[in-house]
Amino acid sequence: MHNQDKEQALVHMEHLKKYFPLRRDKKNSYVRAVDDVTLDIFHGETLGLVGESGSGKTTLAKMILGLLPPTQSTIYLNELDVWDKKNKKALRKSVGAVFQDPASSLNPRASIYRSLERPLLINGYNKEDAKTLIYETAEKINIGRELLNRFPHELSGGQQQRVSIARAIMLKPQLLVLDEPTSALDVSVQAQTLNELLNLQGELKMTYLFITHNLSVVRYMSDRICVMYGGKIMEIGKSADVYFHCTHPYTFGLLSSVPPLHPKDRNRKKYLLSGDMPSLTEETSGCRFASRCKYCKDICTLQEPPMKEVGEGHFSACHFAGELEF
Amino acid sequence: MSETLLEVKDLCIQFETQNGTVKAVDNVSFDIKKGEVFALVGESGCGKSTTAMGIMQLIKSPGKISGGAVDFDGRDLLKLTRQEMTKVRGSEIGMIFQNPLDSLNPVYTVGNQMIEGLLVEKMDKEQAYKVAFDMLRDVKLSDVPARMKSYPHEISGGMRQRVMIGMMLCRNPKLLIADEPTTALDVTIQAGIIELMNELRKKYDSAILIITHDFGIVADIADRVGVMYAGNLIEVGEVFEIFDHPKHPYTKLLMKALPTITKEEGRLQTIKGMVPNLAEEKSGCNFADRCPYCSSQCREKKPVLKEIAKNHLCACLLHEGGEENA
Repeated sequence: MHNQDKEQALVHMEHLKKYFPLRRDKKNSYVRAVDDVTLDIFHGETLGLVGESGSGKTTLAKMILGLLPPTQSTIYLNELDVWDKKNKKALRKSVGAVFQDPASSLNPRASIYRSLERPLLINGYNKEDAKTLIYETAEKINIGRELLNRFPHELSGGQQQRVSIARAIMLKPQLLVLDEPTSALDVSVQAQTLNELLNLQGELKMTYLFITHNLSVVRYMSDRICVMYGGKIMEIGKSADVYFHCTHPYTFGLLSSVPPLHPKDRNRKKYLLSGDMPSLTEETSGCRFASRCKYCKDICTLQEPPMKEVGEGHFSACHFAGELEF
Repeated sequence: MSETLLEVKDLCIQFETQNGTVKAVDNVSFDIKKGEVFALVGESGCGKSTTAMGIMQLIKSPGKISGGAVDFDGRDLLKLTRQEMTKVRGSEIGMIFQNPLDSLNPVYTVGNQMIEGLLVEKMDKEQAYKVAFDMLRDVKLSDVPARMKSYPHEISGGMRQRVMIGMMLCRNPKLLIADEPTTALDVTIQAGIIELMNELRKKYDSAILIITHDFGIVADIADRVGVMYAGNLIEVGEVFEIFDHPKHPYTKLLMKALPTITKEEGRLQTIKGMVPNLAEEKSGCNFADRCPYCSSQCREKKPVLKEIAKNHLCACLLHEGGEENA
């Protein structure tokens, strides 16, 4: 799917599927949460993953993190199978994760220091080394030392999220999965957090998988953007290409739903998506987006669109990609 | 668009806590004209929702309205008896909240709940059914007969919020208060709701007070904007004026914290420090500790909201003398 060699990819997956069974007694009754996803994440890049709720973003992330077993195919991290038990130990260290709600990802009964120390002790640090590393990281990410002895409820949302980030990066993972890391934060705190993430990435040469539904944030952070809908990738490409020259009607719908940055853009050309995401339990023959697409033609309901290359490293799963004028 | 519908004068709302009295809303004054959309923006804890709850008199103990007046349509709401106020709520001022599922009764159908409000107005059942039915069509629900019989859990989040908007508008209130109406929704659904509100405000000619932390929504719908910080209203002006010429340092910084750029273009502006503790009695400007233009005067004298240009009010000592320092 990409021009770059497979060796260059840090994360590699082909035809990855995750079906959640609905009823045991009924055959073929599944929710197709992630359906046939082929994706590479390259060393040092930030891949932004966007889509509406229920598009499969988080399910995909969980599979990459090794938290949810895929139904079909597997994920390779540094060419090691994430789902092979013997690689587990080595891989756990090389991925980190930050989730949306920082309060629920910190143990309310452990002090910040203990929350930060535990993963280090598990990974073979002794208490002294752990202490040095915690202080070092806390300084790097602007967590004052006085905060370390506090408990999560004594911290503000932004501070809690910084602690989550600190914990995720302490073991210097190669891949950091950020699942809506700033959705629960205020604008000014969001700006701080995003800037810190960028600084850390530069310093530690990490690769980010940045999941969000906020398209302005994703544009600020990402090198490439991947748009998901109904468990499938609709469009993927360099940020600027996807943002300014999108070729998939869904991407266009998503982008024009973003509120304007200035009141003068109030009457901008809009393409509002009507209706809801289709049920993922039914097997569809055509394009997943067909039911909401205003450019839908006969072929769209009959045949599933293949990934078409519309530009350098820019792919779109639409029969009419490149032909549509938005 | 000239007659004043609502005038909030020096509204003060306090909460008694163990750590002292928290002035959640401190001398807030603004007005809303007939048919106008006024947006209150600010970060969490700035008092924007509390102001709205104050207007509706829904402040619960330990909070209390400690001063000021809310003139609505020729009378002071704060002087009304409880029964009189109950009549104002719903019929003259409608309110929708962030999570429609909390506002809808789970054991009644959508139709029943909509009709209930109309029956209070002494409408007969058949007519009420018709009004509710037409309203649901106005808020663009598909398959209205089926929706009338649906329970809240059977419809999607976007549809629930549409039902709430419909439920409020079918009693033709003069003012609709919308407290973060789209925060829990996807961008695509949000865009639809905003479009709907824009359409319906023309049709039903209600004024809207929208409370949000998202400047995008402000840009999309508001006529005038009030920016709040730490319980104070710090800037009020027409939407274009606020976006093009923000005057208060906080508004300026907040605008620059919005992710409108890419990481190649630079870093987002952050606001150093944290929101002050409102339980502490302090003199001077609440924003002084975080303000890059802070002078010694700012820590002594509390700025008041003053007109600095036509229809543009700002509470900052920098603009007190009408000079342009910042």
